[in-house]
Amino acid sequence: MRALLLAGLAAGFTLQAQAAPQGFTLPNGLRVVHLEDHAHPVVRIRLHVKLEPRDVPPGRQGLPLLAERMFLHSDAADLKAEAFDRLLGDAGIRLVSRSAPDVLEWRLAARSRDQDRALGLLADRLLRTVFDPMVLEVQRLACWQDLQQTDAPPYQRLEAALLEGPGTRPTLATLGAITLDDLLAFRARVLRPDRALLLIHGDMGLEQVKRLVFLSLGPWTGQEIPSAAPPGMTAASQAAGPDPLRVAVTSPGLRIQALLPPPDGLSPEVVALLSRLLPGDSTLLPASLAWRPEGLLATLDAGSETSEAAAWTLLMDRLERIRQRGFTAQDLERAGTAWAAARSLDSLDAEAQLDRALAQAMGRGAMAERMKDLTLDSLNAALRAWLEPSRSRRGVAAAPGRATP
Amino acid sequence: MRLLVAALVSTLTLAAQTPRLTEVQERRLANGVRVLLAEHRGLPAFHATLVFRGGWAEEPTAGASEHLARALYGATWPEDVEPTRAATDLESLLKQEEGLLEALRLERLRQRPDPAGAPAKTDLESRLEAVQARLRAQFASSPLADLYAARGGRQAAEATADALLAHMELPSDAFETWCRTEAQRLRILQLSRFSQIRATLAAELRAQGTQGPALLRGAALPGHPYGRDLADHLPALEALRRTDLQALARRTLRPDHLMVILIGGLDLASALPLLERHLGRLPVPPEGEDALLPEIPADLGDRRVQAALASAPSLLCGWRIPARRHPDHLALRLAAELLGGGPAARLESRLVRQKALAVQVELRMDLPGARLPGLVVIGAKPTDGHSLAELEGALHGEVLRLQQDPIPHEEWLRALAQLEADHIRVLDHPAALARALGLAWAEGGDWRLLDSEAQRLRTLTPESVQAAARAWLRPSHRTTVLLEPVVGGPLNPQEAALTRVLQGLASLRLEDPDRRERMVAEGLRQLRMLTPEERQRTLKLLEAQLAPEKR
Repeated sequence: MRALLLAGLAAGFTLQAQAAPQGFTLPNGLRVVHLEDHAHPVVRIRLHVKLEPRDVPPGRQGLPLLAERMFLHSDAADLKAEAFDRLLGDAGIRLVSRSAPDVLEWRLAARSRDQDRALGLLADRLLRTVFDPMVLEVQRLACWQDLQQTDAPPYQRLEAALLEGPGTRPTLATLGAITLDDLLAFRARVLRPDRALLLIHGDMGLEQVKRLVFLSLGPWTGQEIPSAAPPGMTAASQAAGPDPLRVAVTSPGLRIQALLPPPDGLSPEVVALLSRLLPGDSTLLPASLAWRPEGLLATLDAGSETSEAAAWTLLMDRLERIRQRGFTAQDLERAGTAWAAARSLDSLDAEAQLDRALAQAMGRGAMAERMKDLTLDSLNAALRAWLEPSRSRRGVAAAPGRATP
Repeated sequence: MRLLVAALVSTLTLAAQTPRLTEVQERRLANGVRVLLAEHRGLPAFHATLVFRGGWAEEPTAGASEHLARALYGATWPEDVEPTRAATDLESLLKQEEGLLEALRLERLRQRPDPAGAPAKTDLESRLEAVQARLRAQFASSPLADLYAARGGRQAAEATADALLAHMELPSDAFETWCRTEAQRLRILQLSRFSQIRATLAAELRAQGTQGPALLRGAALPGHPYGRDLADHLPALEALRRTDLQALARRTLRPDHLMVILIGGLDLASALPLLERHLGRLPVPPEGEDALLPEIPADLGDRRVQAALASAPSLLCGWRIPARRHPDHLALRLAAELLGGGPAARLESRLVRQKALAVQVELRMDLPGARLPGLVVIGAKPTDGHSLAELEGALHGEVLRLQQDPIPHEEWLRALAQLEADHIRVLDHPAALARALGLAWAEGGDWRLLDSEAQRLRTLTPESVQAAARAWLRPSHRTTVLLEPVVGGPLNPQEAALTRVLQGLASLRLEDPDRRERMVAEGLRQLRMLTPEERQRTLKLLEAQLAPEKR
């Protein structure tokens, strides 16, 4: 633990070579985090809106995804969507959006000299987009076609399906049920400055950032939330999907996967250490374990001569071995040292710096001070909870008609 | 005052130009290893990319590059890079495993029906399991065994058509360890996880089946390594042995084919001696013959392929274009940007938004590589109610417009702005910069191409871009693949019946199991190009050749 503390301090000193994040909050409640970096004339901006299960009414799975598409394809600030994209292209600005059941996010990268235009266009997209019923119908179908990923390789489809929570997976029916009113209500509910976090990295000074953000997003106020907002999704109302999920392949082989989401209440420090310790552990062979933001993904590939039941037994056996074995004090120390050293790698990637700043602002970032208080017992207790077999979501990629248990 | 004004004006002028790659320093080690280093003082970490020129297009054994990317550079296990761990026991067990895997593979292919044969297969499997259990006991058992992960680092590798690239990131204080480890990795070439990686790769290729882009490449670049699909070589891939791969790696992963690109908190003065001490002492094998790659004339004629493969209709259109070093290549890049460089570009603007003919459209340059003439490919999916023929016609219309109609000035400036902004973003990201430098060297023979191409963009004119488009995006250079959905999905009963019949016919005519498997795969590919009715008729004809009890 002493070595961990020293490594953490060393990492802290070296990290001081990078500018520390600076934060402020606008009068409308928008929190802003700024990371100054003048190495290159580039600015990266990220607007992050955290979603809660209550934001999506029952039977409306896919609402965040459809909302994201509506923003992308609708007119904004009296400009047709196409004209808006031309303005972005004229300045070489890249604006992409991302949605997941728990987040709506916009990411922007621009040359420093176009920073004013970039933030202005982001504000236009967020605040002055008009949702059109005609666009909704087109995007509803496009959304479903995208989700199907029909031509993606089967193993990719299996993983994508597993990583979605069972109650959050959109279906044709739920996408079809979403109305324009649902979208407008969703937008009013979630797209509020006090729910958003704006992160800015790059070639801008703090005063410059304050001025720009105030001008472009200072006028942002929340819209009136519809009074009869329907109850959101709860864990109970989330219907579980088939178990295991099945994806058909033409080959005789078999791939089984189990996703183990992190248990509620795990500290970021425990997650940071277990996500380093578990992947690559040779106890798992011939299975493997990979870290995903959604959890730990265990995979086993078996030949045509292995039955599905035997494959599941083998995979679960390997996970149980690690669960019972646990980690030693030496493992804890090594993981802590690796974690401290890995923080320096963020200096190579602006997006990684934004990820860390986001995690810290959301209270999800692992902190060196809390890391040194982590004990072996708490780590192993977390391990046992995380690898509890009954919590896993399972999936199989196999030929139809293959013997099932 | 005048000086101040002049300085201000020149600064503003410079700011308007594309940034230059002046920070990269180049050296060559005694054994021929090339080193590029970009110092970013104060950074506590560094990014390293190892680029071995000559990717899967030049590999003498199908799948070798992909295997090396995964088995050699997918992780850094102590048993693979530490001499004390490369013990006799481990090597002996790996050789035993190799022998047993090969014996098992041949046994399964022979598929002996007689009872005497069956126990041999089970015995082989048991022996293999025992050897693999002993092997696993040899592997470092502690968590965080990966040497780079234990130091907070990460790594990834990729095999492209033109190069093998291994990317690593570590804290700066691990640089000497990195130099030593990488030299050892190439000296020892242990490949201890080879068997598992081979099995995983084969399983992935089998599961994915034939893909549209691979079909396009095969049809557009016939007989050329660029047109090869690894999924067609599964028997050879599964027959590849660890010792074969080691021998191949010793011949091809040569110091004089290697460029090391370092970006981050390093300085040349202190890094160079370490590089020389470790990587600079790697032995240089005798010069072998360079792979002789066939020429493909761009003018092969307009080719069309129809296949029942996809789950939804889609169109792939590719044109044979020159290699990166060709004078027209940069103009074609700009043409590609005008056509498919984002939401405001022509294809998305017209085909998706204005005419609503396509759900999505995507353009990619230099498939699968750019060291040799490759392809520019446009992929599109039609919206409901519109046919592939309609979409194809509209696409060709856009290409003709690009070739013939004057390019509006604002559109021209937009394309330039986007390419320049992309270039700046690459310069800002060490991993992206290292990759771009490495590919410029592997594809174009000179890492400075990354910079010179960015500078040359501003010297192009709309007329020169249109001239290049007319010269290269013509019908005689084009190959079109029309993918229709398989009725009932890819696993429909007809597909299963065809597979069964082809396997039956193959077993009658061929002894060699590898050749049987290739015949079945090739037969299925040809049959998917027929309409469902033609397939049914062909199925009947083929079934008639089988004995009744085998139909």
